[in-house]
Amino acid sequence: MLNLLKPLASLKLTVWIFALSMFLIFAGTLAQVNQGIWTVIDTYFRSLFVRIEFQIFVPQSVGRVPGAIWFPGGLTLGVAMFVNLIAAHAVRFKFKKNRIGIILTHFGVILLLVGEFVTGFAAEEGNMTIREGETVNFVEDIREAELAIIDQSDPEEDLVISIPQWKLSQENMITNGMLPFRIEVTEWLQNSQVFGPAQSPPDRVGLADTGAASQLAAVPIEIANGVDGANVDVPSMYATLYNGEERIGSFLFSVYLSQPQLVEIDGRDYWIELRFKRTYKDYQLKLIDFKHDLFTGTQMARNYSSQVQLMDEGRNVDREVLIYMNHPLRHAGETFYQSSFLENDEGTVLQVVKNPGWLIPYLSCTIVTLGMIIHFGIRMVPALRRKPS
Amino acid sequence: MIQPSYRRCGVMIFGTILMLSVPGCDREEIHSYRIPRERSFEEAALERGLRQATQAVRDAQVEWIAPETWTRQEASGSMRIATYQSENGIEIAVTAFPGDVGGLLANINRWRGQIGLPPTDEEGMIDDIQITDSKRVIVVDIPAEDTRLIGTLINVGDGKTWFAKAIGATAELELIKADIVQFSESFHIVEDGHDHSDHAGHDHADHEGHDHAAHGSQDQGGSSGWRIPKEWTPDQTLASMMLAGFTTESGARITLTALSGDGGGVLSNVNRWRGQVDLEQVDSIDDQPIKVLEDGSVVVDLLSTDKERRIVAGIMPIEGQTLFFKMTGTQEQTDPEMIRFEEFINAVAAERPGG
Repeated sequence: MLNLLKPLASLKLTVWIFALSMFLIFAGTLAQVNQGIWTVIDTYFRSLFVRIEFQIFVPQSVGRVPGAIWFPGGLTLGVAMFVNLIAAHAVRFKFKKNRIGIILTHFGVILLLVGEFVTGFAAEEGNMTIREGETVNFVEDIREAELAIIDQSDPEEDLVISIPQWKLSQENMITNGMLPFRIEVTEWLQNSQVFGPAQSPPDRVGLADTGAASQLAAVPIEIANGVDGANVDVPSMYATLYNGEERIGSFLFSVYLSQPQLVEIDGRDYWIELRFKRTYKDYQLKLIDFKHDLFTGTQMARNYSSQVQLMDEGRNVDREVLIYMNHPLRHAGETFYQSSFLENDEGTVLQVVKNPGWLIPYLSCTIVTLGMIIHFGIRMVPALRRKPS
Repeated sequence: MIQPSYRRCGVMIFGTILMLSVPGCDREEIHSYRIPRERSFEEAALERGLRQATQAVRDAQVEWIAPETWTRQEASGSMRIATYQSENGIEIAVTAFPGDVGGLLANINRWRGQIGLPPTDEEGMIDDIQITDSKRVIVVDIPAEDTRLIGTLINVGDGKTWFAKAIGATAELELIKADIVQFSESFHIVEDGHDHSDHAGHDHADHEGHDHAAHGSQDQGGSSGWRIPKEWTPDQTLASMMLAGFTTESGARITLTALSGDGGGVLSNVNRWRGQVDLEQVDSIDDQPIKVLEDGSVVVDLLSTDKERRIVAGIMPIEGQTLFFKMTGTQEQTDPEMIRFEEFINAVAAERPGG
């Protein structure tokens, strides 16, 4: 077994992984300028392999640089580092009192890697937008869209069919037994600006010929890079719908539009909207009051706060809570932070975070610090005792 | 001997990666679920959008009886349904909008602002209001220093709030206050659904000498329902998101659209319009040729460097939406329309809900 682990414990491998990781972080940082922080996290740091285009090393204003290389992604390097570290300890582990600092430091690093895996695979983050007096039971993921097809023929319940963003952005023709029609995605716009009827650029006019948004036009714009404040991507799509072989029409759907569009298929009404992906919860939050206090005589914000009523029948909870800066609400394994607010203070935006591994980075950094202090102390004490010759 | 070890090392690491990345490959597929009804999209679609709102108001079958001493005026303003003038020269405006239009307090505060008073709160507004015996009419009487405003919020039962409003000298308004209340009480739905041609046939004098008005789809005249200068020709077919479209005698084109929220904000729209006349993008609107109207609407005037293309655009926030007024054309085409264009914006602003 040891023979098997020996090559994995190689110090050369460690050096290579560090070198590759440094390059990946450098490339990822440059890529973020144009691709956006969340796209880069997914494609560079949470992927097996990444295609790094040479263009990212040269500003586009300087010139176009063709070509790209495939490179190990963050997942590959992270796992390699994890395996390398474990194998090194398995092969060379000898417990000595004076090595306790080193062991603790390495354990902290292993824990940090584990923490990132837990966050990468299990963390969920979204927004809950509530107007005053409104009750909401879903969280929106502002980094991902979905096409929702809603059937309201039942007076009590809505039937919602959800098509995930990856399918919309990657597949040309979408068919499924659940869908009342076929969808041909003619154009997917990851980030877009929607123009009014008289404002549309001439080459974007008439791309949609049916639906309430047929006179609008969506124009692709650069994706939000995560460094310009609260900007998020506003996805839009042009799609042609078919009922069997019959063409229903081409539509513009956009997260920007606040109303779903009506399509009638065989006498039944369906409401279709592209929206931020929703996750429905088994509890509800009602916004009683949103306060936006200013310092007297100024327009400078002193405090934002949301007075909400938390209703969760399953957990037998019905109480009022005040959420404000640095005082989040914690419920059902989720944390609700005061994040933003609506125009004219009409409502609040809460950030809802669920991360089972949120404590791990704190714990691992503490362990690494402790390990380094111990190791430094062990080395320093004999050095201080040594008398100058 | 070294090579096989490294090959084995590579294979093992790759195997571990694959194993660990299995959960990451779990992509969401098309799925369905049921949720309790949140809202009826059909109803929401009807309630939202000024075009639908205006249309809904225009389709309402509501009647009222005006005092005989009042004379009906040409309805001025795009959203105004009727205008009367009392014997002592006070103008009484009638408007209607779906829902509660922001509630009583919001409307009272809007009216207080119109006569130069600061906003009040729930407790403070009690002094200004009075509910009639029928419980259908709320009378708001706000005295200011020299002027006074009397407004009524009328619940006819058609899902809308109807408003009658008069502003004038304190003593003059006192003389017609009872008439305004009686006038407001007279609003009712036409039960038999008879149409306007019936009313047109009535001799108004037959109604005990009262002017008898009914409000319906033919009552406002014009295809769009918007009060427009005679020099502007309305488009025959309107696009779905467009509230109005006109071509002026001089050849300029005028459009009015509504978008939800702030419609992207002033700066991004100014930059978009600047792009359309080939002007450079700007970081701030501070130095832009922008005029802020009394009601808070913003008008920007942009001319291309070759003076061939001009965009004059107005941005007006209204009830969670933003109205965009846009005039395009050459300088020659747009110059003669400038005054009418601003008057049009002002008229719409004056007729905002509760306005």
